[in-house]
Amino acid sequence: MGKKSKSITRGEFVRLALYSTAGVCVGSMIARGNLKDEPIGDLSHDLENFDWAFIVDTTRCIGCGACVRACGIENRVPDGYFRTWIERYEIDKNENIRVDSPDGGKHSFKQNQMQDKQVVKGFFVPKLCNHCRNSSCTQVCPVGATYHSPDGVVLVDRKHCMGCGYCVQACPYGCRYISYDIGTADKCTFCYHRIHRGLPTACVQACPRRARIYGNLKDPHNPVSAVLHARRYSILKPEMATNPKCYYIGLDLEVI
Amino acid sequence: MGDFVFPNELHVTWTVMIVMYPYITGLVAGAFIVSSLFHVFGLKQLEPIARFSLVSSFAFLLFAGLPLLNHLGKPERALNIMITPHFTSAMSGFGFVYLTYTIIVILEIWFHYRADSVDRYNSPKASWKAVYYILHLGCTLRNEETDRIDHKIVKTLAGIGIPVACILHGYVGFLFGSIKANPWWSTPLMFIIFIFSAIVSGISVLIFLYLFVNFLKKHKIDQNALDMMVRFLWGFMIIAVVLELMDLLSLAYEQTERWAVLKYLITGPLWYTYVIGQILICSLGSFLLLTGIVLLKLPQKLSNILVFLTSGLLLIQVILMRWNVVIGGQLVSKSYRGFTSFMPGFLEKEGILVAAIIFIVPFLMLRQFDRIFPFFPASKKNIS
Amino acid sequence: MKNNSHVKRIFALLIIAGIMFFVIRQLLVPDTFGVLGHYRAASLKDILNLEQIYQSKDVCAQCHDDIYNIHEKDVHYDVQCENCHGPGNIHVANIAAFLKQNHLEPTKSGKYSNEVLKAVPNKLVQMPKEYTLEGCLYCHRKLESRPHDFAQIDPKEHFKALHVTDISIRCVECHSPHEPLYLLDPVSEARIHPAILECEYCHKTRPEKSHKDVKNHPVIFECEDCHTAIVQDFKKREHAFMQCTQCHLYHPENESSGRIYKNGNKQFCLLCHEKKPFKDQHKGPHGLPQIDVSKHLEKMPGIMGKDAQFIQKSKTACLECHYNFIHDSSLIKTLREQKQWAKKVNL
Repeated sequence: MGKKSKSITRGEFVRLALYSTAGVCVGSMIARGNLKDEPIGDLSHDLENFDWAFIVDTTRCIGCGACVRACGIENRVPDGYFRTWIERYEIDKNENIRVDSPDGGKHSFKQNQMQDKQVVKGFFVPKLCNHCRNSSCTQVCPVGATYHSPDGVVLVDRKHCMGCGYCVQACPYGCRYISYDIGTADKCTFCYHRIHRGLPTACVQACPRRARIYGNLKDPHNPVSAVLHARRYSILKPEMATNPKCYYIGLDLEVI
Repeated sequence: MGDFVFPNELHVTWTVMIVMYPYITGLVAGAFIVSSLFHVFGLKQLEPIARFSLVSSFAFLLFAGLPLLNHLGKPERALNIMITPHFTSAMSGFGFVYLTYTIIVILEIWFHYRADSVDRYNSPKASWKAVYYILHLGCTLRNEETDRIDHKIVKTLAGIGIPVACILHGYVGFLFGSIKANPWWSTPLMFIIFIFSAIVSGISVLIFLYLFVNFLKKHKIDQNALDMMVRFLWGFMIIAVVLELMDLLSLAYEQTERWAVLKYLITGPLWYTYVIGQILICSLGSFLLLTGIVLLKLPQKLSNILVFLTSGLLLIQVILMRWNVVIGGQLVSKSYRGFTSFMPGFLEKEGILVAAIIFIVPFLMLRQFDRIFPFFPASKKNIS
Repeated sequence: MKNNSHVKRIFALLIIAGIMFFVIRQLLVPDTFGVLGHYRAASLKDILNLEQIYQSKDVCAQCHDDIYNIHEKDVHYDVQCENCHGPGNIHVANIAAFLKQNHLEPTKSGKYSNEVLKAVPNKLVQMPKEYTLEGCLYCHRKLESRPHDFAQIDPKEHFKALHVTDISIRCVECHSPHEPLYLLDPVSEARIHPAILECEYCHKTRPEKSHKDVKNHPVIFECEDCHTAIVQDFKKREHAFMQCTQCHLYHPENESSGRIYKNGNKQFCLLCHEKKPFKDQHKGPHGLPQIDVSKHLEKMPGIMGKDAQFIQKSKTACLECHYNFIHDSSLIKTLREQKQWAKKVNL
């Protein structure tokens, strides 16, 4: 039906397809020239000697906020977001409980929450990324931008993350956020750049009460194992089965 | 209930754009299923709207990715999801499922419209000949045999497309339902709930548009097609609402730790959008209306007006449901001790104006497409 | 043209597109991706190479070892310099650059001499000195949630007890931030002591009755139970209203023991007894006797020349004469030799 149409031959079609393929390949190679990665050499071999863990001693914390301030400066944490923060718990004689964390505890705490009621029990709980062994955040990242380093630290690749925010939703502990400065996910890095220079993390160094301890579990004389073998400890949200590596001394039932 | 939230939770990460995305993919999946009901299951009454459903699905599909692209912190890296997909993540499915589904829909439309399109190319007064030529990849032959082949392929594609459409929308449900950290989201039912409510929204938008467009053009509607769609809508709607309520009921009954905070979510921040809006007005109201329309013998005109109203209500129900799931889930603090708050902005980057534009443009596109290839040709039997 | 040509063509196009997709994808995957796991391994290097901002006490000590030594001896030994003074990265980098530029070297011990330090221009090194009231109160404000054994004050109550009338006064007017308590012996030499339980350990506020007057009160070791003679004698003297631990600072280390400081440093006494413009003088029946340090010795008849010099240099200067306001000297070994001063000034 209709007049004879001008159809191209198979040969012409195949030639057309091949030329366009070649064109796209050349274009991609040029684009990829900009994506060169630095080679990593023996890095994984060196890192395998470490397995980092952390202890928070809630019986010693005084809520001064030095850790929050130090972390914020060391890691250029954007305003309004926190890689570590401090929660304050107050329980009155009627067993009512009030929890707060004004600006994450960055400027300490200015006054008691319960003014007219008598506080029978109160304590501070500093929190940070738990660097879980079975983390939900690395499970749900769609592009492989957040991962476990060979020495057990959960990190974010700022050059690969697209800022979808799925990891923020998946973390049961509220440690992650999308940094508006850089558009990617961000969280505590265990001061990775410091620990591998033999320096303590910023929060551990700043704490005047030794309420924070960090260590390498593969070192037979590490301080974390020493404390874990001497004191009673717990973890946050054990029912989530995330197998965290941040242990809490003196963790109260009220702390979730 | 106290007012403590973790400091990082003060800011709600997934906002209006992430409410729009499942809504639009829901329309995509639902419209496709209606089209497939005709092509695969041979429900002849649906023939008049089969083509329309298919193209609507495609129009929404073109814009489904836009809310996500707008939301990303680094949209230029959006293709990472196809370059280095991490298959333990539900979201990594987005790249390949979306791609597969797009290919299926494009192919189906291509084969579906081929007959008409080749006719146009071959007609004496044809314009844009070069465009048609490229579109047909240089093959401009049409006869009974090619038509038969085309129909067979369309049927096959529609058949393959049904599970793909279900996955396209279902994975979004799984994406939410698999997050154990969020007490409002975490349920195995979420995958199924999303699929059924997607079908509800798809049928509703088709009915809504069908009645609206034919009212404007003053064409007569095909009552059989409409009645069949209404029956399917009634059935799927009942299933969708029952599933949603089952989830709530078992939460309220088992009274695990989650219920302690979620009951305050429902009676507090979500009272108007969830209890009053989604459940009472839009679900219960629609159910009563549809039951009346289907079971009672109402006069034709009244029945059609009520159908129009109901489809509008259900469209609102589905977007409320998406809002309540996405925003509601983030209002609850993971400390189980309080709620944060969220009010969408109008002119923000991820605000209501942008959402409205993204939603409306597919409809405008459909209108333009209708001008080139009319969905409802003005033949004698159509003009009332 | 066959009837199914169009089918073949479109599927051929699809297959070619598919192949192209995989080829392009392979080209776009970063080099180090997948080497150590499903991530870009080079990111480890990116993170390892981030700038270190906070230095540490040890770095500060390379130049400021005089302050460092004082700081390490007193109760703030665990407080980092940078906690109050801010991060030191720019300070250190500027100085390092200056020293390198001018070919200045450290001494053999690794520390920089005073001449070298003086050569560094001020504008390169300026660091904030944070010692407003709020800075100290970040740690030392009295809060119900803070551990009871941690030193904390309510500024109003603290000022009232010390007769301070100007409430805008900063903590550093009395307490040096580097040695807030002017300890006599370094913290590292404090002695182990069994746990000391204050009333506040269990009670909200200090009860008025003694626990001995309460029926069925749990048995508590008080200082008096072991140090009977000293405490009973202390109760007869002018400082009897004070608790032992206010001067003999106790620092718990665990539930059963801690460290205790003897004390006696002149500067510690002066924390209460030094005359300051913002304190009121001798008002009311519980007035606090305050002295002007420089003029105090001039008033003492009979102490002149070498004796006066000895007292002025002595770290326990106050106790040389005023021991009897606190303890009977015969009960305290170190004071037995000092009785000579009391005779000279008729105290």
